[in-house]
Amino acid sequence: MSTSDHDASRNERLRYARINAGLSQQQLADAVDATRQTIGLIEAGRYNPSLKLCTAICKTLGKTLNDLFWE
Amino acid sequence: MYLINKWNEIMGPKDEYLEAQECKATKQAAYILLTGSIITLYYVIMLNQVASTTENPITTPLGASLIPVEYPLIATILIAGVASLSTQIKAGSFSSYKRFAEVDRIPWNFVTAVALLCGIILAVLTSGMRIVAEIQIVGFDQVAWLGDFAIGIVFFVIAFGLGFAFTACAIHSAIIRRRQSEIELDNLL
Repeated sequence: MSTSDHDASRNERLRYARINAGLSQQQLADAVDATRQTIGLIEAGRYNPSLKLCTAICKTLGKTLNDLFWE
Repeated sequence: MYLINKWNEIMGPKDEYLEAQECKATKQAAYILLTGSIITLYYVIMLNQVASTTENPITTPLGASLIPVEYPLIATILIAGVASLSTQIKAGSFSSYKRFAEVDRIPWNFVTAVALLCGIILAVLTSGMRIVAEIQIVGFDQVAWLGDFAIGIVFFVIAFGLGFAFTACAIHSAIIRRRQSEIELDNLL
């Protein structure tokens, strides 16, 4: 599997987790003190979030860092 | 420290991506300012050196025909400001504070506050520097206090007007760019 495949699956995991939690990008953004643009960029694989933001996203979605951000 | 904490408390949380973009823009402006300042400094040093070695003191009619030192400095400051601002606008942001980063309409109270700040800074600088210059050239007794304050008021009005228009345009462009970016991201998913 190439690096881009890894990235794509990682980004999709975040998107699916958010949708499964019944949250829109804006709602997730509000919950983690980020903007919708930032959440969109993370899901599109265009921005690597800090550990602080990753943790906040995981807590909000009830997932672990392994579930969402580890390959 | 207390004031910074109080300010952060009032402004609320920052978005880390926008903060990163803000840092990038600030770094860009700092590089341009540094480069421009060094070039200007060398220009002044070389002017003085050439004037000295060719025995042409600059404080003669020759001085009037040279490019004034202020010009490259003004150009540097303008280029740094515009480059930094355009980097932020390209990222669809004019503030990394979440409460301002996601507005859909121009926040006129914020625009007014920025314009007021521009006006006050320019008015104080204009009056203050004129007074300092006059004290050194004509002495404290000869300072034209009323004239200096009047010029300060004129500059306040100019800076307020320009600051208001420029900030509103910059925020409007940032809002449009952010919407485009959100549409692009929606289409990707």
